[in-house]
Amino acid sequence: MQVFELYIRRLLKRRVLLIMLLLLPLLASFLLVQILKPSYDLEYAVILNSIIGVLICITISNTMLFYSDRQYATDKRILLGVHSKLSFNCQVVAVFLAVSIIQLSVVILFSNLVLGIQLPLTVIEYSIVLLAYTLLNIITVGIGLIAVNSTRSKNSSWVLLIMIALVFAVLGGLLLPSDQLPIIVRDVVAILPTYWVTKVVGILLNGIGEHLYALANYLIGLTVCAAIIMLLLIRTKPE
Amino acid sequence: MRTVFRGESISYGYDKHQLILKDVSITIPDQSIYGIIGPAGSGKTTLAQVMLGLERSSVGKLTWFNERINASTNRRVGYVPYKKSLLYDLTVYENVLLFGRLYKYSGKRLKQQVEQALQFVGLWEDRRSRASSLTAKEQQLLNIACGIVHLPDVVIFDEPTKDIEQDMREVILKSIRQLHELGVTIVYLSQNADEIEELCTHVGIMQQGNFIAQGKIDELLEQHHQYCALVRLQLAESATKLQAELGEYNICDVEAQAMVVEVNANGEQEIQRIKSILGDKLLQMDVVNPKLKLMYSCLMNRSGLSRYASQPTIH
Repeated sequence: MQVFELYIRRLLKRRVLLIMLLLLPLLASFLLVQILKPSYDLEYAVILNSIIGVLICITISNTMLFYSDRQYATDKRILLGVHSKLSFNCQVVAVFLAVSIIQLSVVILFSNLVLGIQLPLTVIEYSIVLLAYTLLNIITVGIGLIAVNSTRSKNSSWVLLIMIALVFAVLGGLLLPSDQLPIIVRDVVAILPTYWVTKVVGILLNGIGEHLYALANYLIGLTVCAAIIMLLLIRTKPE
Repeated sequence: MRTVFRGESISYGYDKHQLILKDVSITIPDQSIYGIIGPAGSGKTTLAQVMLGLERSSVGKLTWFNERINASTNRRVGYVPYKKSLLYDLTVYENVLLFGRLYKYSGKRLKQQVEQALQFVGLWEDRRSRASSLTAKEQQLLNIACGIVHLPDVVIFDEPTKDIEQDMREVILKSIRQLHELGVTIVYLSQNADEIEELCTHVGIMQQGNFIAQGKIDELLEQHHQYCALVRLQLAESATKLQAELGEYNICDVEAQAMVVEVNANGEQEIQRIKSILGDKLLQMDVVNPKLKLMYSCLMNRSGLSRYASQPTIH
């Protein structure tokens, strides 16, 4: 876990960034609660999806932190220390996962304790949300790092990342409920992993009941997608 | 002869039709300073990355310390890349510490090694400075410290003196010599033949993804001398004016009233021919032992790559 340790230690040294990473989601959740004032399950789902959407956007833009490492080939030097590209990439993704899981946990605690939002979820259901969120994070971080590796300039990396974040968060129904999207788009968005996460959140908040099979399908879909993205990431050669 | 690295028939490319390395074989003796010289784009850095396992060769066999390349062999090798691969947002000390930690060193021992590495390159006093605030020279020294903090048996330097001023070049070359004296095997990649000749015991000359000559520098110069002699012509007139008359020959070096010309295997006949072409304008002719720079230049000219090789200099 040397690479994981290296990046976590490096992150801890960058206090301003660290504070921003925690404050931004808290601010987003505060604003969302103030605007929507949720009182029933559907609105809770909108809030939770929107918070996940904001976190996913933050996470995907954070992959740009690795741009300078790629630019100066520092990542290759770090890779040399661990030898295996699989191990290196898994540890890099794990850093993002650690940060994003802490972010989501802090936001949920903040919403519960400060904003008084009691989501009608059991511990197991919270764990399933966290699992879906973790898998979604692996997918977005993987795609983000592939995008950063595949572009030749910082600006083109940014453009690509913003486009991916928008497609994932808006079309996937995280920032905007998919019911409100144009009919033509609705069938297409069903292939987006973010859409599957919104469905998982919806099923959990409305009660699993007869949707257990659908829930399992969405989670399996997310797992397979995460595995494919990780494989692609390992095979990507920097431009 | 003990070897630290042996690579046989290494080929590498982004696709099968555009190979960057073509059937390269290389053996690096223990305790040597092995220079790899070649023009930009000849495949030096790619070869180093394949040797380190950063790129996987499609064909070929690589062994470090008589073992197939693996995590433990990698720990015995240090790499100082051409790009200054640092953690620019951290301090000098943290950079070396974190790179040392990658190699599973910790605690007091790691701190000692970090101090040794920083003392070695002369950056101990600047240990609290941010890497981004250092000058280019200091960043290169830090780059070296990060590559040697884990006390490797072999260090690969990729053009460490490129774009660096002369005084700093001496400091870096001195550090490399000191490392070698400590028993470290050095692999030194460069485009500068003078540096390679000054520093290295062995050399491999690369061109378009393969070695065109390899071995101990002395032996290579001797070998080269037999089939490609160089003659120094002392002239009565300006050498630049007489260059055209010897147009069919490879002219390796031109001075005000002298030039060094390559003659092929029929040495004696060629010498007579040059004498007859120049006539009275030729004052004296001496066969010279080629320096690495001249040999390199001749080999590149012979391969039709003169535009890449060092151009003849006019003094």
